[in-house]
Amino acid sequence: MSTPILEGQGISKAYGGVQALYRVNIALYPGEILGLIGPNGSGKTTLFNALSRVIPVDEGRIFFRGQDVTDARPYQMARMGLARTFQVVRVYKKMSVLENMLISRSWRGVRAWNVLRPSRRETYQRAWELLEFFRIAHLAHMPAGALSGGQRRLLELAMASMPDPEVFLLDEAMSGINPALVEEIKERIQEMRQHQGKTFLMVEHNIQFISDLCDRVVVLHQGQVLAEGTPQEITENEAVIEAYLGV
Amino acid sequence: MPFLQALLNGILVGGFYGFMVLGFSIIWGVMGIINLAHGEYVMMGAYFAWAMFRAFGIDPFVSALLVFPIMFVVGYVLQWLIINRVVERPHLISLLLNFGISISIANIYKLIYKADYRSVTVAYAGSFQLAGFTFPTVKTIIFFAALLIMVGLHLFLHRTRVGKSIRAAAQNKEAARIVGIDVHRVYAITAGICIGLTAVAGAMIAPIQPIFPFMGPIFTVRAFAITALGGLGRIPGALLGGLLLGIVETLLTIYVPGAGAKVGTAVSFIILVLVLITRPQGLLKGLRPVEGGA
Repeated sequence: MSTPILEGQGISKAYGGVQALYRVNIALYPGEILGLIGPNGSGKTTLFNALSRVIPVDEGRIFFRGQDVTDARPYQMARMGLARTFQVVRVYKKMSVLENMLISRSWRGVRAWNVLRPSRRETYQRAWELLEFFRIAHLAHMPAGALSGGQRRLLELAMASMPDPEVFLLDEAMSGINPALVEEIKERIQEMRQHQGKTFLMVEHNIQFISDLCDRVVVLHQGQVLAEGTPQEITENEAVIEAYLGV
Repeated sequence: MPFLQALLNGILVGGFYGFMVLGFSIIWGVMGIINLAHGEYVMMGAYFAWAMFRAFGIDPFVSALLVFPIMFVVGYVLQWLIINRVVERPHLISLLLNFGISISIANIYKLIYKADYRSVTVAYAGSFQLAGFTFPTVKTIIFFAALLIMVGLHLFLHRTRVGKSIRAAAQNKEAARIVGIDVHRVYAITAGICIGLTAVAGAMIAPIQPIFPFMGPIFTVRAFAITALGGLGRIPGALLGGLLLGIVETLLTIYVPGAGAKVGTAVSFIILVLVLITRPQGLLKGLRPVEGGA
C-alpha cells in the first residue's frame, strides 16, 4: 500500500478523568474512503478533532502527506488541503448561503496584498456549481440561519467542497438529509474519489451507507481501535457485533 | 424652530457618536471582548491631532488621516502580543487586561503631557447658515466624514476577503478556522482597524473637545450606552444608537435648566441601566453573546 495521506500514530486524549482516546493508530490512504464507526462516546468525534487539529492531543503524532502536523493549527490544516464537517453543523447564520460559500473558498496562497480584493468570477462560478449539485442553489440569497437542519448540512458539505481539498473528514454528514439525496451524494463521493482522487474519512451511524461506500472500516470502542477491515469483515466480526451492533 | 435647531445639533453630535462607538462595538461583536480602553484610544487620537497642530500647524482632519495607520499598528500589535493570549479565556480576564491597559495609557499620557487641558482652535471653528438653520462648521464636517467612513467600513466588511473573514470569525470562529481562516490574525486586523478608527474619531473632535489624559472614560461609558441601544458590530445600529444618544443629550442640555454639558455622562449611564434592566439582550437584540455553534 502507498504512504498514508493522513495518519495518526498512538493518539491519546483525556478529558479530566475520562480517557476519550487511548493510543489509537489510524491511517488514511490517498483515494480511499474509510469509515469510522463505534457506539456513542467511543471517541469518534474526538479522533476527528485530533486529526483536524481542533484539539491538542496528549500523546502521539499526526502526519498529513508525510509531514508532522501534530502542532499545526486548524486553519493551517485547511490550507494544506483538509476539509471537515461537524456533527453539529457550523455555518455563518447571519450571512447568506452564497456568502457562506464565498467565505469557504480556498485560503491557500492568499497574501496580504490581495485580501482587499472582492471574490473573483471563478469563485462565484464554483459556488453556484456546488450549490446546484447539493440542490440548494434556490436558497443562495437566504440567510443560512433560516435553513432547515438538513439544508444546513447540505450547505456545510458544499462549503467543505469549496476549497477543493484533498481530504474530507465528514462527521455524520448524512444525518438529516433525505434518502434520495443521500444516494446522490454517495454517487458524487464515489465520482470525486474516482476522477479526482479525493480521500474521505467519514463517521456515520448508517451502517448501510458505510457498507456501500467504504473500502475499509475502523471500529472504535471505549477510545481504542476494536477492529479494522472491509465492511463485510466488520459486519461479521463478533467483537464488533457485541460492542456496537448489539446483535 | 429652536426645537428643530436642537434636533439638528443632536443629529450632528449623534453622527459622531455613531462613528466613535464603531471600534468598541465591532471588537465586542467579533471577539466577545469589552474594550475598556476604548476611550483612551479616542484620547490618543485627540492628543495626536493636538501635537501635530501645535508642532506643524497640521489641520486635525489631516491628522485624522495620519493617525489611522499609526494606531492600526498599535492595535494590531497589542492584540497580537497581548490580548490574543486571553481572548479565549473567561471574559473577566480580558476585561481586567483592558482595564489595566486603559489606566496605563491614561497615566503615561499624564506623565508626558501633564494633566493640563489642551485645545485645538481651527480657523473655521464658527458656524454657517443654511435653510434657516445654524450649522456648527466643525461638527458638520465631522458628521459627514463619519458617515463617509461608516459607508467605507460597511463596504470593506461586506465586499473584501478580509472583511468577510472578520464577519465569519465573529459568527463562528470554529467554522472560520476550519476553512483556513487564521482567526487570531483576523482578530489582530480587527483590533488594528477598530483602534485606528477610534483614534480617527479622537483626532476629529480635537477642535471641539478639551483634551486631557483622563477624558477617555466618558467616551467608554457613551460607547456602552450606544452599544446597548444599537447592538453589537452593526454599523447601522451604531449610527442609530449614536443618533439617539446625541439627540437626547442635546435636548436635555437645552431644555433642562441647569443640566449643563455634563449631562451626557449621566444620560449614558441612565440609558445603559434602563436597557440592561428592561432588555438585557439590548434594544436591537445587539447584546447577545458572540455566536457559537450552528
